[in-house]
Amino acid sequence: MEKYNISLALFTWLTQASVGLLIMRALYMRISPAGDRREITGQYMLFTSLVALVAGLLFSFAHLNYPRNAYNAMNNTGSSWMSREILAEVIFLTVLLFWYIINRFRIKKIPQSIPEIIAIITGLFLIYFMIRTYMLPVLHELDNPSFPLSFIITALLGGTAAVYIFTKKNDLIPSVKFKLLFTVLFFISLANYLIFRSFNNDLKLFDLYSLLYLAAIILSIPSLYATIKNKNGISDVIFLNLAIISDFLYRVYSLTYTNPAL
Amino acid sequence: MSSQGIAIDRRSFIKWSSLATGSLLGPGVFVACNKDTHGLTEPVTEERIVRTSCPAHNCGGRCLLKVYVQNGIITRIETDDRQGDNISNPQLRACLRGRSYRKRQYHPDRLKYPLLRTGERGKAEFKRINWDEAYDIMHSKISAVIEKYGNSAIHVPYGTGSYTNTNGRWPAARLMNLLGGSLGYYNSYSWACINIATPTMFGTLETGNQRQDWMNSRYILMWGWNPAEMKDGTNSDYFIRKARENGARVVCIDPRMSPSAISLADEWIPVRPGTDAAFMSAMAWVIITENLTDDDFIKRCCSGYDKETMPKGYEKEESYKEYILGTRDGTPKTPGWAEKITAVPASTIRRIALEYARTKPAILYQGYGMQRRAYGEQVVRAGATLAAITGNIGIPGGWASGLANQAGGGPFWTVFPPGSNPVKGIIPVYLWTEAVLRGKELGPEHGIRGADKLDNNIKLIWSVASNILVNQHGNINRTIEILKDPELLEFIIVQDNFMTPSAKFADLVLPACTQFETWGVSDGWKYGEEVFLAPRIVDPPFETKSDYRICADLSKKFGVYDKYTEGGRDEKDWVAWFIDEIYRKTRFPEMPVFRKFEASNAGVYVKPVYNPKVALKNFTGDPSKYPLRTPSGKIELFSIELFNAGDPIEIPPVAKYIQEWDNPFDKKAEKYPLQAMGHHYGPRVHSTHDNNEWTMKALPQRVFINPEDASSRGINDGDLVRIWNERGAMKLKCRITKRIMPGVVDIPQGAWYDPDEDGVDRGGNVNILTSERWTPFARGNAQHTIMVDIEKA
Amino acid sequence: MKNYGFYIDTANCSGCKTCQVACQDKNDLEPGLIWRKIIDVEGGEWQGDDGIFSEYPFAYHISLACNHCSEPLCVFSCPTQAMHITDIGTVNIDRDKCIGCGYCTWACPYDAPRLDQKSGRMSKCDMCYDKIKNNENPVCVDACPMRALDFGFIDELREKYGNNRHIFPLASPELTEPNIVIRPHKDSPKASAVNSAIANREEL
Repeated sequence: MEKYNISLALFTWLTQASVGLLIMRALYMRISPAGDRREITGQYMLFTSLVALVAGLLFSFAHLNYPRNAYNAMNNTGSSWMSREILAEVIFLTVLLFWYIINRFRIKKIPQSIPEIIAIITGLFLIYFMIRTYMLPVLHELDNPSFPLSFIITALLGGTAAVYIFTKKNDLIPSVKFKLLFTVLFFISLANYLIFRSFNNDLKLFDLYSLLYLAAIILSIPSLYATIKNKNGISDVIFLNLAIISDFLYRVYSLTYTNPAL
Repeated sequence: MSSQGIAIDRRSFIKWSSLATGSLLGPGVFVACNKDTHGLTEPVTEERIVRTSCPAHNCGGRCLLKVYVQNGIITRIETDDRQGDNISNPQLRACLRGRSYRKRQYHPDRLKYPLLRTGERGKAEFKRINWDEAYDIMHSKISAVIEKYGNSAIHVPYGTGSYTNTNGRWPAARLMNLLGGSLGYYNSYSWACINIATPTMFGTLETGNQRQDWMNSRYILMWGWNPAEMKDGTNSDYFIRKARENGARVVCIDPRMSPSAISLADEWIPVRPGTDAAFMSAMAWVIITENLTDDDFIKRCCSGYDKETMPKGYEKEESYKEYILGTRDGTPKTPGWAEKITAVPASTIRRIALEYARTKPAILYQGYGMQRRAYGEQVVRAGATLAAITGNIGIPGGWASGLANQAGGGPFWTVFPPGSNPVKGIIPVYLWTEAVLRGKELGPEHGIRGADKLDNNIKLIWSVASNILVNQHGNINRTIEILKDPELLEFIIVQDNFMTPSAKFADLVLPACTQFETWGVSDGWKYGEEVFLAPRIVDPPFETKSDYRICADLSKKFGVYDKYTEGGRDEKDWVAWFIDEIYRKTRFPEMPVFRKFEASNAGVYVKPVYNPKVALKNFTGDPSKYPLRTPSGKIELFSIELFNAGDPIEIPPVAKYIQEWDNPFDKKAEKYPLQAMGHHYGPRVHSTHDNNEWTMKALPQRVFINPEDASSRGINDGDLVRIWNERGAMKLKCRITKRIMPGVVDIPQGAWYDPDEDGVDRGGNVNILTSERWTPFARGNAQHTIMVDIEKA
Repeated sequence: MKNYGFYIDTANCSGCKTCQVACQDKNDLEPGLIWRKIIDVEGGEWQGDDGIFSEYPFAYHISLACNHCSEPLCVFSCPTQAMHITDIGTVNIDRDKCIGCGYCTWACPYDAPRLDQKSGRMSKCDMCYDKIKNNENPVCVDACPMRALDFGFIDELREKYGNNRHIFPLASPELTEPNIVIRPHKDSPKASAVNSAIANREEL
């Protein structure tokens, strides 16, 4: 699995973040006071989710050695989880596009909640299919609860980060809540990473991955402090980036160092 | 034929051009070919199947290929598909080297034109010349050297790149003999010690039974013998499998867990390289002290076993039994004595000795690697002595050891008649560099035969199908210094398929075609009762020619064409002559005449073996009626010939263990603690196929090192490592493997020497580390006796 | 349908790789692209005192191509249906559908499907479909100098050679129901994940 893993990691991470962003957006829309600002921020979030999804899709093409035949990829939904994953991806993209259009052009006939619910449900299916795609019975390293959990955590972590970024300047109260949530999720991501590594008897404290996680944890304290005190500390930016990079590298790691069955 | 014939040629050029990537002087011409064929439609000709001999390199076997040809291109190669595969007449299935031949045949680096050196020797700077120029140069250089020094200053060296008779060194030897001769050689790089030591015991090299007889054996000791990889006769590995299925127990003794140890043996016993004679001596101690010797056989057939059987006039000398029991030197050769030397526990040595002595009939088969060592003569004699004292000689299922050419006459190797050489003095093959440096000083003490002294140093080398000039000779750094000096060698000619490391040192390089591109004949290698016909399957590409054609054309310049070609014979005429006049009149009177053989497209004529012959049977049956051609007429455990050599320390008359000059026991080992061996590697035949991408990707060139030796040096699997000793250094990727014993590394021999600017070899050629030193009696190569060290590069 | 299968005699396999190269020749595979591979397994330890060795390691070879499984995970996993079961029950790939995603390789416990770099699509052992149709053995089987490979209907092979389908370090045969019969090497019972490993990964 050594080749094209970066593009696969980008594809899965971005797609999951895209789904997670919609979930967190739903939360934000419901805890934030109504108004133009909320609507505009919501629209940004929707657009970002769409961009992440499309970018992920482009990366997914990069791991095909013969993309010219890509139209065949949904031929085998009967038995192939990958085929189902691609089908869900296409449906998700369609719904998202549709939603974005009615949102962008303020088409009031259709309530926003309908595409929202459909998109989130499709997105959850998409993540499930993704998990099933990678949880092959012969890939022992991925055949543990930690690996599928990482897909879900990434979705929530990526989504929370995006919501936090969109809200931190102007929406003080939700922003702090999302920051706290993000920090908690990041700690879960770390724990999950350590569990994953221990499943594979490959736990080293001082490799690149662990060190990044470690740095992010240390930075999380001043960053949280700054957020609570409503200060824009540089630690906040670095923490956020480090945390996201750590989670992404965990993905790269899990896809790269998975040994083939032989 | 005509229009189609042209189409085939064009097609073949297209194929060639598509394969060309930056090879010597190639690209320009390839472009021209491409233009030439542009826009032409070519008829597709029907697929043709030709059965032929596997291109006869010096691999150790000879197999049948079924070659698919379409539009003048070989498209696929299969192997023997005759029905009814059985022991008497087994299928002659080719190994990976034969099956991958297309990657050699259509290699973009094939030599295409005659080349003349423009830069320094060894720099591989050449310019293209035409054949007429090449012949003129050869004619003038050879004539000049003959005139200035005499014929004995010319040498056509040992070379085993081809054995199809019309390709190979023999056509050149024939031409030189017609021109007054050239300095000849005896012996080989493969079998130097076993060739010389076997007759000191048996008076003959024909000490092997036909292999079908292995089915009668109950116990087989494969001693340093690896037929599954190097092929000591096609099907030898398969015969061992069959013998084992027949109930024989098979034990493999080898420093390396070879493919044969894994697939053919019931048990593998690692032994420290170069100490086999100690192991054998300790076995003899057990056999003697347990009274398991075959006393009747010894009394009837052996000379020099003990006091009573010592030859007349030598009664006072040390007998074999006295050596083993330590009567004179005070050191009984017990298993306890041997275990410290061999790294094999005394209990194991004892057990193997008892098994070998008690399970009859038994075979002790000697591999050849252990006789390419410091005192290689001893191990040959020690093994044959064990066979003698247990009475395993001359009986079905037994084995006399020694070289073991098959009973009843073996293959001819070559049937091309080189004629007789007017130059009488000949050198031991491994001493050719000595003959370049100081030929005039060489005499019988250096193994010179046929003359008291050589009357010349070698001044001109004409090397055909050979890579010994650089690649295969010991101590490359020394050899290339000799080759570089134009004062020593005034002219070097190399004929080959590729720009080999040897060819890079030539003044004139001539492109030879492959065996698929000319007619040829070959027969079973060491064993087998078969003759192969190798028809010309495809045309020689570019300006390549067969070795015979090159020599025949050159003979015109010397005015001996008629004599040389026996009135104009081409390769096919010769092949017809070999079949009809040699094989049919000697080994195989019942084989079809050439025309029928050719028409049958069988590729091979086989005489099935139903009643395998047993070597030395007449002698052991009635030693007085059929005495051996040894001084005593018996099997000489004490050799009068060796006694007369007058060097009891290095050439003892009874088989002894002698500590090698480079060994892990003495002080030098502190500097170079690892023994290095260079085994015959599966993907290559010596240096042939080193550029074959199919075989060399399958089994890449690596230094094989034990995990213990690697970890103590901080080396990880796959690391690039530096291996060096006092003679040279190389950088090579390593493979950490449990299959080699601690303290030993293995650098498979035959990789192409490829130096960087500091002279460090990157190709992994073990000869950058080996020595030119020869063994005391056979004057053979001792290339496997070396010590090295390794570090992470 | 009666399935075809391979018999793999690891006891007699010398690891010479003639089968691998014969396959490359027949199928014109680029160097580096192999449909049949030889796995070298090494296990055990060197033990002894004073430079005298009393215990030695062991090793054996497994010649492995596609096992044309009855439950082919590659076929089930392939998103395009390029990987399919042929009319004679073998598993083959339809290059016209393949997208080169490599997912079949992940799904296969035997690492049989291989990317053909030149065409950008997956490729694999087709059991010499043309030869089977012609009543001949696959080219690897008739290539073996040790006669350690055999081919035929799997039922007949099982009758002739027994039912064993597993040897260390291959995956559990229950995963895909491979159509192979393996004769174990004498030392293979000693092999386990603790003391043994594939020693020639770079060649696979």
